[in-house]
Amino acid sequence: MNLLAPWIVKLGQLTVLFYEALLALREIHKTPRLVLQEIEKIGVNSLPVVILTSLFIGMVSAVQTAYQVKDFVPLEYLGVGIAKAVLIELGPVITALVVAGRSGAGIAAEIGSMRVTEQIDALTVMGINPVRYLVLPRLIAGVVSLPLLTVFAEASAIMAAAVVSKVVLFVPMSLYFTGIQMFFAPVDLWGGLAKSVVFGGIIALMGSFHGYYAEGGATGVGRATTEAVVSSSVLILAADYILGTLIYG
Amino acid sequence: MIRFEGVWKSFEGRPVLKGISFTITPGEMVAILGKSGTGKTVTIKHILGLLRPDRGRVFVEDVDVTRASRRTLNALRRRFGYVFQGAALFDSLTVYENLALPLKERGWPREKRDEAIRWALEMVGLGGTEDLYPAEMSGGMRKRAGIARAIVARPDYLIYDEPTSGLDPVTADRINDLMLYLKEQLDVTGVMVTHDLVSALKVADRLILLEEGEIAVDIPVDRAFEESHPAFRAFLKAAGLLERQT
Ligand SMILES: Nc1ncnc2c1ncn2[C@@H]1O[C@H](COP(=O)(O)OP(=O)(O)OP(=O)(O)O)[C@@H](O)[C@H]1O
Ligand SMILES: [Mg+2]
Repeated sequence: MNLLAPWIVKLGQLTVLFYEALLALREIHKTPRLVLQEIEKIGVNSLPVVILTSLFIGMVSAVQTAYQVKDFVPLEYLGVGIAKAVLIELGPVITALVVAGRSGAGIAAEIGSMRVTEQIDALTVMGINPVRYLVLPRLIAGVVSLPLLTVFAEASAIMAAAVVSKVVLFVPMSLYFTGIQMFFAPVDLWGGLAKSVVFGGIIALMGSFHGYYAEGGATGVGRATTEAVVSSSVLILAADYILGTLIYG
Repeated sequence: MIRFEGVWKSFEGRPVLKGISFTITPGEMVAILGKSGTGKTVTIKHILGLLRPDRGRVFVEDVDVTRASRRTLNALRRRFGYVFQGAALFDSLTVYENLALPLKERGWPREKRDEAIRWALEMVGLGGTEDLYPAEMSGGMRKRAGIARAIVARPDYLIYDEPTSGLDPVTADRINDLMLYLKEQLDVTGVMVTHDLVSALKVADRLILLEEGEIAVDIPVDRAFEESHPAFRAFLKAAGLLERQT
């Protein structure tokens, strides 16, 4: 029982924070600039590292898929296998994990240091709702940025895989892409993007939550950062399983 | 008017405030003294609901801060200026933007904002620093910018958490004069937490000494040198003020 108590408290705090962020949506018109700023930080600035990782994911996928299916399946179906894996799983999940490490940590550090240096108290005594000012813009930015980043990630991975298929495995690009087109199911794309919306919410919420309740100076901020990354990574994978079952199961 | 009625507060089972009661009447400035870690900051954080008491109540005028709705509380908060112990400037904003934020929140038009910001920075001797970020300023400058932010909206009440700590004696005295001016000319009611007895004697009307979570001494400032409580006398003595009197 005593072991559970802190977790129940945390879950309560998390629920309250999320609920307050939703309530604060009514006042979002007061801070449009903050939302754009956060989209820049979480979305635009993550683009290079997301594309870079996706290129490698695409290349690895091509080699691995070819290795596993080459004796059973004609290689014109190579593109299909890769594309489906990228759209449904790899694109959304890898993007989310990369952004969790980058922006989730950043959110926790920013909000956490504002907590321990009384900046959140300062907002409160000015009559400014800190959840509206700090959490909501990041939440919106996360939910908006992740699907966009995922689209870039998926395009990069599929292109990188196409290049590897041609250069290393000698599958002509036209064959690779006709295969993809032939078997393309819209739900592969939309399902993956729907998941990434949820992942974006998880990253922003876990970063905000751990920062918002940080205590104990710089050490506390460091701890909040770590916890934000660990908890959002675990939740992303758990949510991936649940959403995958709901959408494709 | 600010009134504490039997306020108790503990952290992780460790009591910090043990039934604090006092009243600050309109126009009055009260200084809270006490050793480091006795709960001075904790006390004043109860005034605007930054902390909630475990027991007891806190009133500002006729509002029970411990039970007020968020809307009532926010309306109340906008009549206060709060100087934080560590200044608590927003790192991501310049000095100008730090001061503009509370004014924007109140819906002040641009021109009125600019004028108020110029006035507030002038008052703390920071004219011309509008475009600096907090990280580009010294500790004392940050402290003064924090004071400027607290007074910029011309509040009815001011809460100062160690307004002169970390300042050189000349600047500290300038801040004392500013606090006096705000009290006497603008009729601000306030409370200051301080270790600086010279500052307290100059600015405050009343002195409260906090010891072990209780109010040990609560006296008008002109009786300071008659007070016989040993902890209070230790304070006077440490500040080098005792020999002069006796
Ligand atoms: N959020 C908190 N969590 C746990 N303990 C706290 C918290 N805030 C304050 N305390 C404890 O309450 C006590 C009083 O702290 P407070 O900050 O009020 O001291 P202070 O009188 O302002 O001291 P100083 O003059 O050094 O600023 C300290 O022992 C501190 O450890
Ligand atoms: Mg203090």
